[in-house]
Amino acid sequence: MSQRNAIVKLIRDDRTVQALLIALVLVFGMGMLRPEKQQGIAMSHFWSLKIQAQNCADMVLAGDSRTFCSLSPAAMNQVCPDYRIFNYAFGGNAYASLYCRRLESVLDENSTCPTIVLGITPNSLRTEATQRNGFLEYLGHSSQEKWIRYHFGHVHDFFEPMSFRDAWEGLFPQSRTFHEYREYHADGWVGANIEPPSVKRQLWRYRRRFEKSRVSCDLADALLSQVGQWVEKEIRVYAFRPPASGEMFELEDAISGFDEADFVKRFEAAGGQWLSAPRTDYASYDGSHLRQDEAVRFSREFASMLQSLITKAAQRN
Amino acid sequence: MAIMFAYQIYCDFSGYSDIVRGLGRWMGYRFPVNFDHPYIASSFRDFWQPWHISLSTWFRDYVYIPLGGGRATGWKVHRNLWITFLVSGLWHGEAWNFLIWGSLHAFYLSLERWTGWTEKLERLKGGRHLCVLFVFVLTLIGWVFFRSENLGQALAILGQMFNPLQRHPNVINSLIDKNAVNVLLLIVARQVFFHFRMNESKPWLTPRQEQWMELVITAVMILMCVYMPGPANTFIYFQF
Repeated sequence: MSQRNAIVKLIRDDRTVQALLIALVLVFGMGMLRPEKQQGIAMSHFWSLKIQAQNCADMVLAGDSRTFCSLSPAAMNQVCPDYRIFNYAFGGNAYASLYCRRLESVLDENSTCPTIVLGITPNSLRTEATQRNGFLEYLGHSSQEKWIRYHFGHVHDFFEPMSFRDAWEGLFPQSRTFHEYREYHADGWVGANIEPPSVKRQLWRYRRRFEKSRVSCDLADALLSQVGQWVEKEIRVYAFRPPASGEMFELEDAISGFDEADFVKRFEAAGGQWLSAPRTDYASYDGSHLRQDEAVRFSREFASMLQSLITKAAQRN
Repeated sequence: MAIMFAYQIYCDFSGYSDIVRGLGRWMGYRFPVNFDHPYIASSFRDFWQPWHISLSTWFRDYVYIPLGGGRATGWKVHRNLWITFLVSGLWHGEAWNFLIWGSLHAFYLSLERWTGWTEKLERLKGGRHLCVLFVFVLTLIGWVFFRSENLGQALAILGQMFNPLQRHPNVINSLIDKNAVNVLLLIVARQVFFHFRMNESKPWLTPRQEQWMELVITAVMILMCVYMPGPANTFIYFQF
């Protein structure tokens, strides 16, 4: 019997092979139906790249998802072309000591102007957020997992979990009630948008978070002490409160336990410089994160403010 | 939730029994089947024959039969049933919930033996399907006690199960988003398919159609394993 005949017989007679072949067709078909195709580099590759970033930047942007959505290093580079900027923020992240050490290691040891920019949100100062966040999740991946995500990001993304509802919406896009768009960039920025926007989408989530746990004074003290150490190492440290919707700021100020005026005072006493960036002048798609085009605009304006502060500091010296 | 736990514990234990059987067969050993479609049983007697066959057989041979088994007369048969199921409950853990679970099954079996309700119901048209449904629902009540951490929690879950008005409207949406309903529907569909296939005197599918149906269900299960994985937990039954 020829080899070809043997294969045909196997497919015709072996039920295991038949089930696997049907499964292969279904898996491939369902993966193709994923309704929201990501743009830019593969998501898995993006996070793998970010978590493994080291010794590569003059300026590191740190914080949680509000920072990784709002500051585009490429857009900032249009204003500050002399800096190699990397966005090292992670979803749901908090300023735990491990994260602070890792973000410092992203700075190039030979950089002449090492700079850290901290996006300060009440969420990033909650103890609970130090225990479970995107940074820890990606850091916890095994080296094999990181390797697969780094080198085969698109394949990995193809098999990301999805539901039959997703497949249905992929097949009938008109049945989808909202559209999510994400663009992953190698410099650590995620350009995102949701249509139609809803500034109240994230409010209940944040309310629940702050009802469970508020800003931790210990965590804020530890961060301020870390800022002092960075300043001693001649690293310039800036901080800002990333923009969001007015409702979100009202909620945070009311129930998160974050006293911004006091924090700013102590931050500047530790040697850092606070940037009072405009907060609610930018459109958010969910109340917390900036729309992609607004993030680009904010990044440029933020970079201008930063540049003028750096220039003034240089003139003083 | 209770239905999901019923299928979770079934798939968990039956699944790892099958893994053991497969591995054993690779090494030249043949282990008997441990679960044989217990959820399409039309009586509790039928339920315990295909459920955890290795343990049930052990309890039958080393506890129930030495006590006199079903050959004893009058109330002694019921006493034997109760002792066997109370011991079985305690075998799962020294906790009240396992004892209640064992007692419930002893009660179900005693009642069934005493009244013969399943046999009577089966004689009616469509009665067999109703029996399967009743036995399944009563088994679910048992699982609630088996799974709960304390009596209060078990009673609260039972209250939710039998009072749909108490249900939070977001629960269904959240279940759909977490794929739980999809997985459950497929498993239940497979059980219903087996139930009708095994119980209908006149087959409603040709053997070839049945074979294709089996293949497609298996392929969809593989698809779900790829796209709808749950959190990686150890087997539930490892604790016993």
